[in-house]
Amino acid sequence: MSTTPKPVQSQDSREVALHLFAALRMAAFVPLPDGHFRLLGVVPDWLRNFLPEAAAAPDLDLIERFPLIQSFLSEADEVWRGTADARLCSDMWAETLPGGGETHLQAWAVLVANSPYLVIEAADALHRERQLVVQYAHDTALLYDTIVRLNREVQLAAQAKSDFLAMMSHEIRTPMNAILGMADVLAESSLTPEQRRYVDIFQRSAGSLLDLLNDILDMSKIEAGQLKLEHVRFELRDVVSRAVELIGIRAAAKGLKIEADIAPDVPAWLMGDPVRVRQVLINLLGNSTKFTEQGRLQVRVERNPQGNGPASLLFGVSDTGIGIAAEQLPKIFESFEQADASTTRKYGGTGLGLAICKKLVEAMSGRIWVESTVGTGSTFYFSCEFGVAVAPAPEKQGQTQTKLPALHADTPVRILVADDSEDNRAVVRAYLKGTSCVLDFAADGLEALEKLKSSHYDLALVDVHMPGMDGHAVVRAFREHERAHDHAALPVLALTADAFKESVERSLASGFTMHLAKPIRKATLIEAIARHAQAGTQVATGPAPSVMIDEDLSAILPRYLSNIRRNPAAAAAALARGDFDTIRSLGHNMKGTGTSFGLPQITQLGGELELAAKNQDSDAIRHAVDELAHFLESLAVQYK
Amino acid sequence: MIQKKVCMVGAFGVGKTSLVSRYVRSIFSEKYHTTIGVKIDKKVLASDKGDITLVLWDLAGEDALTTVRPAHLRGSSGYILVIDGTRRNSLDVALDLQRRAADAAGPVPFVVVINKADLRDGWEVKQAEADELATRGWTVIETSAKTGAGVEEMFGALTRAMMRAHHVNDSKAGAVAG
Repeated sequence: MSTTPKPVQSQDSREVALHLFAALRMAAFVPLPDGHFRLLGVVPDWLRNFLPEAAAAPDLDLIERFPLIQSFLSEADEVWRGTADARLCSDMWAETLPGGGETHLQAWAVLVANSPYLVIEAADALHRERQLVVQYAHDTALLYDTIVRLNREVQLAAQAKSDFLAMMSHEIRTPMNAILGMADVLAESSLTPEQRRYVDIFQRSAGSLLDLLNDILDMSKIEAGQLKLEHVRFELRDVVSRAVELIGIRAAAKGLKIEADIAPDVPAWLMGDPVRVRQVLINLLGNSTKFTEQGRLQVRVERNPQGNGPASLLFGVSDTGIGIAAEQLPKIFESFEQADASTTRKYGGTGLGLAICKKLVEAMSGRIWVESTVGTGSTFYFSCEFGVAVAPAPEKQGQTQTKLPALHADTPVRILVADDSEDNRAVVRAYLKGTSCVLDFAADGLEALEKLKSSHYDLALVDVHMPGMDGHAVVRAFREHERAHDHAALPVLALTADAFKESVERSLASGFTMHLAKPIRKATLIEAIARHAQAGTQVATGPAPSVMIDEDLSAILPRYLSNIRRNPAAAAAALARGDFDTIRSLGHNMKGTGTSFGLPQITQLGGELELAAKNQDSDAIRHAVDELAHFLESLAVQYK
Repeated sequence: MIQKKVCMVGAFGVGKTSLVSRYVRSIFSEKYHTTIGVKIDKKVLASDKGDITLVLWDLAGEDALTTVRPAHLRGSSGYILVIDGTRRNSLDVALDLQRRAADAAGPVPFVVVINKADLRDGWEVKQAEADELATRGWTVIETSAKTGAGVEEMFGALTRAMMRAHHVNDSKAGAVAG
């Protein structure tokens, strides 16, 4: 027996199709020339709700009943004229049911065998499904908008916090400059033992306040994700010795000895951030000194047995101090945590130091932990990942840095001090009393600029934050003036309470020769002046280089030098934005031109700058820029 | 009877459906139900010139995948551009929609509403931006579908503008016929 289905006759096919339409909750219509639509077959139940007259009069005014059909008809006409796809659906639309509630409808324009049809479908199921999907998409989009908005608010809040801290840092450092400065000056004067003890407390307390300020700034920068690590070449032994030397003074006062031991297989030169390594060591050694009354402290550095490669190091800082109870060990690296409250009362501190160490060590791909026994002592360990660096070539003859001169030469050093704070002007005056410095003062930026333009100085100390014209504007305007008049660049040192790295970079980019962060200690200021004071005053360092240049070059050399004098500031600005290509190009240009103009020093410094930029070695770049600025400042050309 | 087609347009989730629901049925639901396609409602207003039926076409809000069909806007006597005061982006969408609505519907009256006035403290749309819309000569009304604030005013202002346009057109038609 055959299983092939029996084909339906044409009349049967029409009935089947209409039943199929009804089952699919569709109603089919034929458009009529008078704008009405004729329903095919019986009226479906769902349609009866909206068109009760349909059973009696199959030619219906659908546009009147369903206004949306009107806007669909222009598109439907395209289909029915056979000029478009043979099937097109309208948007869904909602119709209110007589007893309340809604039904969602959708219209189709269809062309079948050149005959036009309009089909209306009750599409509640499809509507529900589509609504779920679209609503999910909308909810997600709104959530995304919320996340973006909240993220923006968090960033603004972080920026506000950062700005607040920078401002507070500045506001605190400005009076601290006067306090520490005057304390230093007072300490050098003739005092009774009792007065000396008071000044000592005065200095120590101010120093502690400054340490605390630095800790808070560090922590806030770390939390804001603004901690930027250097990646420069450094000698490990030098870093360890400096930390030991610094804390050694305090330890020696308590009768403690500090020993340092670096295992022989540890690479001597490393790539990393020496400042941060030293900071961790100083912090740990400082703690050990604080909590040890007798015995010794020890620093040991060895290759990390669990590390990767020779520059993966393990540091250990041991003491014979009071030790830490086992239950207090887990939280000792958390912010604002100390072993117990009595520790704070007895030993002071904020509890930020170890938290900062932990963050710094983690930033250097390491970890920090402690092993301790109460009454016996503690050993703090931390690991760090460095790169191995090639040792630098020995310095050439004559390039060895000589000890900086004291400012006692007979030749006077003429210095302009521009600072709106009378107290800070007084500090500089007190610091430089008894030296060969001859001081002139300006109380604001405009006065400073006028004096710089009209008088001759060997060096200027300019406060960055002054009312009206700030230090950046002063130095930029003055550098323009120097270029316009073909003057050699005067060393202009920035004095500022801004301690952030960004501020230093901004100062150099503005044209300052150097950035001194307040509070400035006497020795630092004198060293900076001695290093940068103009040729006429540097008697102790020898005569200024006088270069004999061929007379033929006299017409073009001034312009060449004027261009080259822009390079230190241009390189500093490029370094501030991480633009090593520009620095490399500046160096390359100097390397290729210096000797042609009779200035092989420029060729040599250009080569150094180009190489440093190629290696992205920020310290080497700064060094080359300093050398170049120094050479240009002291350059005296004579034509032969 | 005068019948006027009015389209509600704007970004998704700005409150078009809620404004219509408040105006036609005096109800508000906290729950957000996105509109798929078009919802058509009617509101009959009495006037000294006889009843006016507003046929309110609440068009699905624009999103990354949904664009308002110009065909829906054709034949409108006016439209309402809805902005969500808490979402700055909905202002940009509204400005874009205004250009397209003017192309599709012609120079018909429209009203700009900044909805969600009950959340005014959290608005991202600034007063200066609302003022700037007003300086274009646009009617700008703050509304809250939740409290009903500004809703009658919004439809009232648009209806008056549409009726003014209606009478001008009538006069022109009369002049031509005469």
